[in-house]
Amino acid sequence: MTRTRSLARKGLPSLLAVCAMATYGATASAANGLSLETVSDYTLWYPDGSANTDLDTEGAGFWNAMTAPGTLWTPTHWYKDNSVYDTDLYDPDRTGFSGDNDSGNFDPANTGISMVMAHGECGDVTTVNCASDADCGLGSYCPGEPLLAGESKTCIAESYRRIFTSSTHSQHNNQVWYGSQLFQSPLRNLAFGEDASSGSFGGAGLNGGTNVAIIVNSCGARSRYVGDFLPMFAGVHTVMMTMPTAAYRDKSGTVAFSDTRQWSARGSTFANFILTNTNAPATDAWFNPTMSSNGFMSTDGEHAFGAQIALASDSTWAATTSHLFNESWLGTTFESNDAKGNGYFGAWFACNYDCATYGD
Amino acid sequence: MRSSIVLSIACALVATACSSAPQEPSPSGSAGTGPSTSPAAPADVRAGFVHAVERSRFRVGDNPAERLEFGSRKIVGDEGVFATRPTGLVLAISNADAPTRARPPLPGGAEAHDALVRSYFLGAGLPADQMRDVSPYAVVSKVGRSGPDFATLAGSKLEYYFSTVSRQIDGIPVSDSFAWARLDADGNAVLESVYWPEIPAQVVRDALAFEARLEDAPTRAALLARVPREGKLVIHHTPGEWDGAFEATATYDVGEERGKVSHFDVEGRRIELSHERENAWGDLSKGPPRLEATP
Repeated sequence: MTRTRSLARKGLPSLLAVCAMATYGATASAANGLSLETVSDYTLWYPDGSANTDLDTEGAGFWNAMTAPGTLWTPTHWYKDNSVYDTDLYDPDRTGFSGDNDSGNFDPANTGISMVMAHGECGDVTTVNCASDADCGLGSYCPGEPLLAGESKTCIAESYRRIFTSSTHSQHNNQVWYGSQLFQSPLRNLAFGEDASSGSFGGAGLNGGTNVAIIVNSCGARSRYVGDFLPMFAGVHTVMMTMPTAAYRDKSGTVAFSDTRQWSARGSTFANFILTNTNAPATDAWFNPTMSSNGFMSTDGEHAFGAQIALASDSTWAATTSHLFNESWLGTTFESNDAKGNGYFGAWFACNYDCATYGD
Repeated sequence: MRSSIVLSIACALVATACSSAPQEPSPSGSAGTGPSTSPAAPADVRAGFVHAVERSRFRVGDNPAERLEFGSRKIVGDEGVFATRPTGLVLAISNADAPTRARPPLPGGAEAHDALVRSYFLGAGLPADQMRDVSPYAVVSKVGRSGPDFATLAGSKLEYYFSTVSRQIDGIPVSDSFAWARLDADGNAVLESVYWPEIPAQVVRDALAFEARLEDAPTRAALLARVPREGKLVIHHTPGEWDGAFEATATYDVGEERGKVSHFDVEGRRIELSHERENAWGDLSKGPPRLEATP
């Protein structure tokens, strides 16, 4: 179902094409597919519907805008609810399980953007009060965040991260695992973007292809442990994620935390940023305050701290930085910009508070 | 100086875009009964603010041209795009290779950035009495060799700040309105966005009445008995990307489990905002089914 089309057929003004070539070099081929997987129906986990989400609605705002006539992107597929399998994200070359099939689903060839929106979990928030990392011990940290009088921070432990699906076609108990935990090597289940343009440096074959992978889930990333996500990088240009940052004990002594918010306009807002200027750095659309202000919540409404994070890995410092800082949305569709190695790793994150002062 | 000259030329070349106001919202609503779309009398609104390229510190660059594209009216120049949606949402984004990107951030840290963004938007016409606060949003980075070295990189490096202006009317937060900018060392906008629509005066009156009822102890206790936990009163309105009718209403917002924020009226009844309904952003029943029966 993946379709591609040449730059010429997009009818881009010649000026844009000249700028793009000057900035990003000649292109051998373009990756314009759009893959989207969203889960609103979690009744397999909670039959009463209490865990259902608005993520299909969020996805609709993204899908409909991004696949409208005249955009850079064409529909690959949008899977919803029971059609989102846990095997869609696992790489069979990494897991050794033939039932896994990211190649045909989340990470197909010639895909410009792949996005999954689903539940995650925040079980890495501990009950240990802290004022600094020293209070948390090995394998956990004290998050940076503004506090109200009478509150204290609580430690966050390095833990495996998860994406939850809810499908009758599950092969992994409707869970996609990634990241690491104390003293363990990072899980290597996920590998994005490997194809002929990137080469197979990531040990994931050449059967991937997405250039920008986006994961929206609860507590999907923690700033201190993003290095655990290096195995995801097998040619993908950038991985964008949501990263709640707050963990605290409130005045009543209850442990609480910030979370990724169910925000119906996430998809439409993100798409509008992308489509407003495809010559802007791709990360701008993820990093801006509209996304970070609305993208997080806390149960008390006072600690909705979080960051929109973008990660990249490539063979050089310059290439890694370029993915995060310079590469435009037009540039993300160029296969020639695929990562060619993973010797360098970078993380940029845009907080919805002054994390340069309070920490992350 | 060059920026203002070029901007003036840009405005002259795209006079239509610079002089014609975007479609004005004509909303109304009432607290406690859910959103309403009945038109309000023009004078019976609390002022909004629609940003405009001629008042902007954003530079579109040479060769500006106007385009209607993907729901926005855009002024596209060699250095960036200044886009306005029919709702009045403005989004200005410079190109990856625009000269402003090569300039250092504004010196002076968060405080200086916040102060200049505040004065910038006030000077551009944002109603001073509706400014709630100005907050710094930091963008930080870590880049290094992969593996153990990365994990031991000490802290993060500050790259730049955004400053975000939040809104209130008569003390009630208007949670969906915003104005924000990222300024370079010259005080020019690298990126900026504003959505600050007119709010029907009736919505504000309803919000103040809601607030007064919350100050009544028995009413407040009755509400808290019906909602999951304590929350706060805010005015909501439809997002700037919303193509449907503008709506605004005051609700009591409560954070729930699993990332959900719910809205309630003063009686504790749940309110569903139009843009949060299941098919709000497109019919979810459409689209081809997944073909394979098993993975």
